[in-house]
Amino acid sequence: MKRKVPIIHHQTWNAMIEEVSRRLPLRFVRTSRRWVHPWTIVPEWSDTAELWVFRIRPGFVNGVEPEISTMAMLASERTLDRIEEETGTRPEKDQSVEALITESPQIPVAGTRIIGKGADPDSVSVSTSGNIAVEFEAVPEFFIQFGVTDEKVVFQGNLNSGIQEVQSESAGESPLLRACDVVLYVDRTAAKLDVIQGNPFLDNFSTSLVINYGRSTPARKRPWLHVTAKYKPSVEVDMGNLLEGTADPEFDAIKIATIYLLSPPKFSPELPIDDTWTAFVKHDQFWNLCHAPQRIPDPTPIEPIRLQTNLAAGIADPIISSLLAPGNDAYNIALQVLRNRNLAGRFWSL
Amino acid sequence: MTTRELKVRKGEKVRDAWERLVRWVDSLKVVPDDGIDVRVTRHGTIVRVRDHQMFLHPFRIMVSGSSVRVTPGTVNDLIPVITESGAKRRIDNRDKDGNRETGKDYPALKLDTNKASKDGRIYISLKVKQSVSGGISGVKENKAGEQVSENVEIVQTDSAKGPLDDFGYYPLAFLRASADGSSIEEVFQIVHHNIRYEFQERRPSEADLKKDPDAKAVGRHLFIPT
Repeated sequence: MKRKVPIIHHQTWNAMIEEVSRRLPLRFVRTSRRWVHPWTIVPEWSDTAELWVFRIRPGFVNGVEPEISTMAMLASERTLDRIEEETGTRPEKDQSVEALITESPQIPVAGTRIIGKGADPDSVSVSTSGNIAVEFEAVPEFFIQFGVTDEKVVFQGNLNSGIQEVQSESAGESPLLRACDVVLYVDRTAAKLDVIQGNPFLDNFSTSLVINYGRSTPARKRPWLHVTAKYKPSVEVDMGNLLEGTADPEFDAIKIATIYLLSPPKFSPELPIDDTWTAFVKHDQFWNLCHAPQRIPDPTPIEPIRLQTNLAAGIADPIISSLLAPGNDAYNIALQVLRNRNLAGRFWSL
Repeated sequence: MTTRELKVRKGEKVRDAWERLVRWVDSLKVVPDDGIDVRVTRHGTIVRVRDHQMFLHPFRIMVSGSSVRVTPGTVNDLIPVITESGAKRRIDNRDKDGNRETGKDYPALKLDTNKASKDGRIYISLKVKQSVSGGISGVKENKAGEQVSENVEIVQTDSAKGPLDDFGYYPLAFLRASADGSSIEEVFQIVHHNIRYEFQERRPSEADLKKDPDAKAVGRHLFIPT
């Protein structure tokens, strides 16, 4: 007996397929709910600005989000609307604007340092025998596996016999590495040293050293981020630093992250960084931060520390240091007061 | 395989088309693994993807319409309270004695967008009343032997610092209200940890009072993660 061949009209079949394909879960789309830590930096190439930019996941200091400079063309509408409301004019696209990091701005990666071949030395030291040693920022191990090579400068001879630089082998094919640091700043009051020349007829002193507390510019209301080629932590100021002319910084700073840019192999060092490079980020901070001075501020207004000498101004200058030499009572008192009134703050995560 | 390949032309054999359809249906099978649960019910198949990336931290702010719930967290081991309909309720949905509240949902803080700052900022903040010893005032032991105090509260403020009064404030999250105040557009979580609170005070010394008889004590509220 001949088997009956089932017949389904092709239009009926295709209608069924359409219906099934519409009803079945053919594709899962899951929106990302991945937790991203505060201060996460995501670099990208901007076709608008034709340079590398980054976005940052908002972080907070004492619950306040920092601001950061960017170009108006990279700022969000929210930033531009706010500035227009505050100033009455909308910024031009090339104009620099201060964006809050909760306003999702793109920030240009401007000004990078070279790591590896072609880098500037971190330090140059001369040994007692006259040999010169040059130190460079080491290439992070992660980038060595990409073929980035360390910069090496070797000097033959010494200061006495004459010095000759030995050219190291050129690493023309290895990729180039550039980097910049993203740093968080909080403005604060700083100690300042003033030398006041007395009037010999009116004053009972010729020179007065006054340590004042204040700022040269008004403090910013909120913390701020800055992109710099290389961040160098500032040294906490003491009396010796002040006398040597080292200013007490008017801010406390902490590094948030380093952005590395890696070129493709055989990339000419003369060419600018372009979209063929790859960006990597090494974060230093992962949590929101608190910031406070190390000590509770004085209950009374801070009075200047005064140290006086009866020597004439010109003569006094070279011996100010002896007046304030360690072991001298005046020095020790001043140092104690300065330390007790150290206004440098500390960051901690929250 | 796409659905286009499943369609047929006039005169094509049904068996061929059927086999293609079976292959396609087979390819759509959801394979369970440690991140995916597949539950077949008579109403259909439920596929649950476990979100391993979700960070369930203390004091997580969840906004729903005009109310805010906060996942339990501690300040000096104390559970904060939220004032709901005039009553202070612990954010872990337990009563003063530490018993789970029956028939009640977790307390929610009613948002008042009229109290947002000029630029639509709302902060959900901890409000702490300090004790003389620098801790939290009003700490008692409940029947379960647990330390409790109603002086750690979660409130709405219009700035990160909070009002200038005798309490210590620290923002748990920053919410941005829409221009018309009708909704919350963005939520930024600020605190991710339990907190240790400390009040530090510096009273004027005799020398300070000689300089300025009106000198007052200065203090600061420190919030430190634990």
